Parts: sequence; C-alpha cells; structure tokens
Amino acid sequence: MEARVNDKLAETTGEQMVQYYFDGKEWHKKWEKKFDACAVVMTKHSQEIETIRQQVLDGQLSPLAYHIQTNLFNVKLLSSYTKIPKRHIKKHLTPDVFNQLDEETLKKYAAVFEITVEELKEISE
Amino acid sequence: MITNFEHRPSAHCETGVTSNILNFYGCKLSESMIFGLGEGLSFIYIPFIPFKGNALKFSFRTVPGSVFARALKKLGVKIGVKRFTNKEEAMKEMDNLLAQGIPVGNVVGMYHLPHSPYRTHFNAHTLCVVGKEGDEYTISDPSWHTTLLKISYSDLMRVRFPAGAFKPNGKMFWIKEKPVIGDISHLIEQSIQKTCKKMLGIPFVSYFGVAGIVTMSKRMRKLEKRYGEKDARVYLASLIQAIEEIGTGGAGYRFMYGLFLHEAAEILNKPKLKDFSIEMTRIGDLWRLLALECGRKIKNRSEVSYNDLADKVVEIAAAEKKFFLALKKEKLEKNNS
Repeated sequence: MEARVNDKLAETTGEQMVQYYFDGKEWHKKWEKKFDACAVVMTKHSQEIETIRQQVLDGQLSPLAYHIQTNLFNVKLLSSYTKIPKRHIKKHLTPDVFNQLDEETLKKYAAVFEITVEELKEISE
Repeated sequence: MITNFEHRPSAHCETGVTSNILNFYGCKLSESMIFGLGEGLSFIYIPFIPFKGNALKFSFRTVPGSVFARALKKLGVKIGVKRFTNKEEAMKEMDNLLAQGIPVGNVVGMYHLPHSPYRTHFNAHTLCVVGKEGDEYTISDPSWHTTLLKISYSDLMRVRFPAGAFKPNGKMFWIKEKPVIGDISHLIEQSIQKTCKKMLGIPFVSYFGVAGIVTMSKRMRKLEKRYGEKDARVYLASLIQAIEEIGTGGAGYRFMYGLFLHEAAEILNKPKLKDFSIEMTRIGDLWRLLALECGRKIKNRSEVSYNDLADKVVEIAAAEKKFFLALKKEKLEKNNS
C-alpha cells in the first residue's frame, strides 16, 4: 500500500498546464511546469500514515483505519460510499470489532478501496 | 462516433468543454470569452470550514457549473440538462444522444478517473463524451490532455456516480438546437458590470470579493499562533495550490480575465479596455509573486515573516479594488456621452 501512495505522489509532480500570458503586444498560450505545492501538503498526510501504522501494529486500531488514511478517505466519505452508518464505521476502527466482521461488510470496504478482502485485513510494510 | 469534433486543449475544464461544444456547432467563441460571459471571476474566503491538512479555504472562482449555465443562457442557446437516479438508465440515455451525433458534456468525480493527475475527492470535473465503439467511449478532456482518450464502460459509470460532497448524480448536458449567435457586445458590457459588482462585494459581509482578500490577510497574521509552525506552512502550501494549480493555475483566473478584456476591446471598439487588460495581468503577476514568496517561506530560503506576506495580500486587495472601481465607471461615462 505504501508504494501505491508514493505512486499517487509521483503522478502529481511534473504536471504541465496551459497558461495565458501577455508579452506587451499579443496574447500567447503555452504549456508551463508548476512549483510542487501538492507534495508539501501531502507531507503532513504521510506523517499521519506513519503514526496510524504504529498504532495498528500496537493493536490500538484496526487495519481499516490505515486503509482510510492511505486512500485519502475519511469516515464521512466512506459512509457515503458504502452506505454503512458513521457510528458503525467508528466501531469498526477498533481491532476487536473488526475481527468479528462478516464477509459482506468486508467486501463492501474492499470494493471501495479496490483491493481484495485478504489485503484489507493486513497492512503492507 | 463523431468525426469532426475538434479537440482544443484549454486552461480550465468547464470553459474548455463549453467552447469546444459550441465550436462543434460552428460558433467560434474562445474559452476566455465564455469565462467572461459566465461571470467566472470571483474570490471567496470560505467560512466555517475547519482547516485539516489540504482542505482549501479559498476559491478564486464561482460555483462549478454556473459558468456554463450563465454563459449559454445569455447567448440564448437551448440546452438540455439531466440528472439520474438509475445508473444504467443514465448510460443508455447518453448512448441515444451519441447515436444521433450529439457531443455530451459530463460532470464527473476526480478520484476514480483513470487518467486524472490528482487523486482528490472533488466531484465537479467536466469532460465531453464524443463517441462510442463497442464497450469503449472516446472522451475529450481539454484541461489535462492534448489528444482524445478512451475509457471503458464500467469506469465511466463509476466516475459519473461518485459519493461525497456535491454528488453530480450522472449530470449531463448537451445542446438541443443548432445555435445562432448574433451581436454579443451588449452581453459583454452586462457581464463586466456584474463581475465588478461581485468583486466589490456585499456590504457588511467580509467573505466575498475584495473584502474576502482582506479577511484572508487578517487570518494570515495569526497563522503561526493558531496552527503552530508546521501546520502554518501546510496552510501556505494550500494557498499556493489555489493560486497555481487548481483550475487554470497561474494566479487564479486573472490572466484568463485579462484575455477576455483584450478580446472585448476589439469587439466593442473600446481601446481603453486594453489598458485594463494589461492592468489585470499586472495583478495576476502580483498573485504569482505572492506564491513565489510563500514557496520560499515553506522551504526556509528567506526570512519573510507572516506579517510581510499579509502586507502583500493587502496590497493586492487595494490594487483589485482600484481596478474594479475604475472598470465600473467605464460603463457610466459611455452612457452620459
């Protein structure tokens, strides 16, 4: 999963876009490279991933919390994609409840993150 | 499959798609002209949203979808707009239109889009579906790609029905009759007046237009105290994103409006508007310089304080206020004479 996030970061860098500029007489259209502010915003995000990863390994949070963070989701968004109530998802963030979940709910979560159920249950290194 | 659809890359998704569709019907209006007619220029400091990581608190444009609706309503073009509850029905209706040879504009979510450079949960990206071959659709995405692209049936369906804030529900739009556009000079004057009104703001409300920029400067002075040193930098980075990357990039639509004024000067025969166009690009450059200073601050390459940055923002606000007051008067002088 870590690699996938890095891919997403790589996709955002080096992007080119159309720009309009005026040279004193005429208007021109050109393609220009951008300063990468997105990566700076994402540093905060990747630091949070590290802390959550530690908490999952210590047994304080379930793997679901890790997948939510790496896929740029939050509880409210996930609830609107899966149609599972927010308070239920919050309960699923604890390992004890997550381990007792049935196949159907696990499949719903896995479909949103585009992974298999087995991948949902573990976190990669 | 529509063969004679001309794919022209553009700076912004919504205006680009609109001008491409109009161009298909033989109405040659540029992207910036539609941006000006649709009154797209604005500034909003979005209140009440807590700042969490990359949540954006400022917008340099009006609500997504309004530019298309306003511009085509003014031009008197008959359009069809539809939303759906059933996914398969949405795809079937689009196939029917494509079979008749009509290009269909679609509002889609960005996150699951295969060719999207940004993985953000933003549900108001616009693209145009041009044709269908078997199980694959041909789409034109003018803001990101120079050529036509292909997308599968299941991908397009998923992208048209995302969840989260501002659900588009498979929103699609098309032009019903072949439009005939005559003289647009009075429309240009009308839309310039409305943009001035919008930028000069609502009295006693400090979130819209020039007043919004001043409010932003006030918040910037307190950044370090409020969020701490690290998060304050992330806040600045998200400001740079708003100025440089989102939508057109390049000082949030200021250059595009400058080009609109330049074209308007030729249509209205008013050479004075060309001076305004140059002044607008100067303001755009001020925004870009601000982004540059913010970038240096983030990388620790200069000793600019947050107060200095806020002073620059106040400078920009003053320049914009002066500009739009003068532009508003331009119309009045003509009426008196």
